[in-house]
Amino acid sequence: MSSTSVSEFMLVVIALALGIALFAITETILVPEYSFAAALQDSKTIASVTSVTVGPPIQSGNNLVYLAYIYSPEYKGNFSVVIFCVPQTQLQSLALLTPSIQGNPTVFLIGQSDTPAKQTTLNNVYDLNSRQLTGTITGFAVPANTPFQFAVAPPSGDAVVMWVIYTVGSYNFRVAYTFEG
Amino acid sequence: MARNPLNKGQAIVILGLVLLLMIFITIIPLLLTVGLNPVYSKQSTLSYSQLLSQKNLQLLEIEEGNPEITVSTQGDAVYLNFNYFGQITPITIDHILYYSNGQWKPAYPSNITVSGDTTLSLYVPPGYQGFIDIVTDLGNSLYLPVSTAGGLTTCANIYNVSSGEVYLGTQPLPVGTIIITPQPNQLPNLVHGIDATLPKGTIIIENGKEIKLPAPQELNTINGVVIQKCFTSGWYPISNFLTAYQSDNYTGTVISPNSPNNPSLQSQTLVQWFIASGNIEPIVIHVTNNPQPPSNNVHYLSNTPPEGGYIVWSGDAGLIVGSGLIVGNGQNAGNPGNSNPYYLAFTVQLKNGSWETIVDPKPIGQGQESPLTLAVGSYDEGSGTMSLYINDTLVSTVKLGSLQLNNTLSAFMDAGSASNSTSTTSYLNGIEGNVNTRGSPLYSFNGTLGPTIIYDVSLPGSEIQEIYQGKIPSSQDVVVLWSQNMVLQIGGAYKVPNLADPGLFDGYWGLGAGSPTAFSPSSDIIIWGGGAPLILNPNILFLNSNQQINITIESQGLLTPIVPGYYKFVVNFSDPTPGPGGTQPGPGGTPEYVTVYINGEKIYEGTNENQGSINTFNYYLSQPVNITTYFTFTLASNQQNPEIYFNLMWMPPGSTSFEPIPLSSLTPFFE
Repeated sequence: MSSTSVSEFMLVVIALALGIALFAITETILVPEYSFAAALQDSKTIASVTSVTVGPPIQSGNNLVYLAYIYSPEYKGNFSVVIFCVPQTQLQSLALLTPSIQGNPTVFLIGQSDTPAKQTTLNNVYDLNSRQLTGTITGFAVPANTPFQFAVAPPSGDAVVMWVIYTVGSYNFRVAYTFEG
Repeated sequence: MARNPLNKGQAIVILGLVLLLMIFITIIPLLLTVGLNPVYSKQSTLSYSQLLSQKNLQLLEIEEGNPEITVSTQGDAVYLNFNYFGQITPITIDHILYYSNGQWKPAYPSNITVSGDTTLSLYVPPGYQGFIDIVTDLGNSLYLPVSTAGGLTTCANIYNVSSGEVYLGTQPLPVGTIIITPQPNQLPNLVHGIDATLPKGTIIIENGKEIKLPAPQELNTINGVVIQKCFTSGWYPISNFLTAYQSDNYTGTVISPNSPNNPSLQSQTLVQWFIASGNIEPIVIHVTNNPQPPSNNVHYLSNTPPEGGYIVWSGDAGLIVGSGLIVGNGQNAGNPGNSNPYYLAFTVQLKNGSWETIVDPKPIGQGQESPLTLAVGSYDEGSGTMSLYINDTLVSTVKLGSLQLNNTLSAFMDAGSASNSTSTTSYLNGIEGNVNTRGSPLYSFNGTLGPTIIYDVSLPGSEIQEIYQGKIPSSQDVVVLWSQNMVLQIGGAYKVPNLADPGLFDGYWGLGAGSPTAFSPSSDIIIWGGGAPLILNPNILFLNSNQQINITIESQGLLTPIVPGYYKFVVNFSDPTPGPGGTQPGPGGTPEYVTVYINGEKIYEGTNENQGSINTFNYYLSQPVNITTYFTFTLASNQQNPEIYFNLMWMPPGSTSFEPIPLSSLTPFFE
C-alpha cells in the first residue's frame, strides 16, 4: 500500500470517526434538547389558547360531582387531566402544589357514562418553565372541547385541584390548572 | 516528487462524500425528530387576546339579553328558549347537558346555531327540575335552572305515609303516619316500590301511638308512597318565630321612608299566609247598585274600599279577611264584634278611583281562629282578570276587560293594616312604617301573618299550586318577599327586610301603638323558612313523657356571590322581637345545633349555647358554590312553646353590616 493510499484511508477513518461522534452528540444532546424545546414551544402555544371551566359541585352520596370543560380551539386531540386534593391552607402556592392525595377521582365522558375515561400513565410532568413537577402519576384522557365530569371525595378542609396535561412525544406539560373549594 | 492528480481528485471526492455524510448524520436525526413530533395543528389565525375578547364579548351579550337564554316548562316538557332583545348576534351552542342521578348527560342530540328567537324541546326526563348546562363554541359554560324557583331545597328528617300500603316489618302503617329518622337523608325524598331500612332510633307516630325503634327495621313501600317534608324555595332564617302577630286592630307594617311607598303595580299577584283570630271587621262592600248576595265569580263595584282586615295591601290591590261578609249599600254596615267565621276577599282600586271586589262566600273554617291559610289574589292588566285563591284552589274569578289600576304613589304598601282613617273613605293611604300611628279597626287584621310575597305579574293557577307546595315559581318576578320571621333592629326601628331585593321595599314595624305584640302565638309549632310551612304539632310529637325528638332541617342550593370577594357570614340563633309582649328566644331554650358546608367542606359548626363566641366565618366567593346547612333542634315533652330560630346572613365585600342573603343569590338543587 502506498503512502498516499494510507493517508487517504486515514482521512476516511478520521472522517467516519468524526461523523460517528457528531451523530452521537446529535442523538444524545442536540435531538433531546431540540425535541424538548419544540415540545415546550408547542405546549406554550396550546396553553396560550386553552382555558378550563369547572362548574359548581353537586353532592352525590359522599362524592362531589363536577362538570368540566377544556376549551382549546383548533385542537382535536386529547388532554390528560390529573385530579387531586390539597389542604385549602396551601392554595396560596397553587402553582407549586403537586399530587399527594388523589382522593380516588373518577372521570366520565358525557354521554358515555358507563365507560370511565381511559387512565393514562404520565412520566415526568413539566410546567411551562421547564421545571419538572412530578415523576410518574396517573391521569385520565379527555378530549378537548368536550365536557366531561369527575367525581371526587375530598377530605374535610381540602380543595380539589385539576391539572390539564398536554403530551408531546414523550414529554408531558401542564398547560392549565384550576381548583375548586 | 510529482503528485498523482487522479489520487488528489479521489481524495477530494471522498472528503466531499464524508462531509455530506457528516451533514446527513447531524441533520437526519433532527429532521426525524421534527417530523415525528405531533406538532400542534397550526393555530388559528386569531391570537389568544382576540379569542379571549370574543369569548368575553359573547358572555357580555348574553348577560345583556342578546340572546336572553332561559329554561321553561310546560307540563312535564322542558324547553330552552333564546330571545333577542337587541341586535341579533348568532350564537352556536356545542353542548346542552342535564344532571340526573350523579351523571351529566346530553339534553340535545346535536350542536345548534341560533340566529333569532328560538325554542328547543330538551331531551330530559319528564318533569325534570335540575340544572341545564350549555357550552358555546367559544367555550362559555352557562348554568341555567329549569325551574325559575329561587331559594334553597329545604327538607326535614320527617316523612309522611302518603298513600298505598306501607308496612313496618309486617305491621301496616296507615296513611298519615309520621316517621322521624334520627338523621336527615336516611331515606330518599320519595320512597316508593322499595324495601328501605329505618335506622335504630327512628320514631313512628301512628294513630296517637309513638314508638322509638330499638333496632333497625324494614320499611316496605312496594305498594305505597312515603314522602319527605320538603320545600324547594327555602331561605334563611328558619324559625317558628317568624309569625307576625297583629295587636288587636292597631298595627301597621310598611315601607321604609327611603323607598318608594309601593311597588307601583298594574298586573300583580299578592300572596299571604295567615291565621285569623279574635275580632276583625267583617268584609263590607258598599256597592253602587242594588246589593246582591255574596257569590263566586261576581265582581262588586263600589266607590269606597271594602272594610275588613287587610292582610296585605300593595297600594292599589289588597287581600281582605273579615269576620263576616256583607254586600250592602249602607254606611258602616259591619259589626266589628263578630269573631268568626272568617271570609276572604280580593279588591283592586281602578284608575277612576272606584273599587272592584271579588269574594268567596264560603267561610274559612270555624272556631276561634282560622286554620293556617294561603290567600292569593291576582290581577292581569291585559284582560282585567281578577282571581282569588284559597290555598291552591281558585274560588272566584272575573274578567273586567282591560282596565288600569289606580297606581298612586302616595299609598303605602302594608301588611296587617291599610289605613289609619276611622271612617269610610274613598282611598286607602296605608300607614308609613316606623311611626306611632295605629291602624284603624275598619281596615285592620287581627291574627298571625306568615310570608308576604308580591309579584309584578299575574301568576297562572299552576304556579299558585306550586306556591302552596313550597316553591316560589317565577322568582325573577317577585318584587317583595317579607319572610315575616326576621326583624332587624335598626336603631329604634324594626325592619322586615325584603328578601327579593334587600334595601328596596323593606318593611318597618310601626312603633308604640303600631307595634305588634307577639311573634309565636300559635300552640302549634309552625316552622317557616320557605314558600310553605313545615307544621309540627307538639300535641302529636310529645305523646311520651320525657321523650326528646331531634328535628334536623337540611337546606341546600347554589350560593351565588353578588360580586367576587371575601364574604363574612354570621350564624344567629336569636332575633330581636319588637313591641311589648314579644317573645324573646335565646340560649337556654330549645337546644339548637348548626353546621354549614360550602362545596362539601365543613365551614362552621356551633350551638345556641356558644353563640356570641365564634359565630362568624369568612369565605372567598368568586363563583357559585354549593351551600348546605344542617339545623338541628331538640323538642322535649316539657316545652310548651319552644322558640326555634336559625339565621345565616352575610356581609358582602364593601358592606359594613350583615345583610340577609337575597333570594336571587340562592338557587335550589333538585335531585
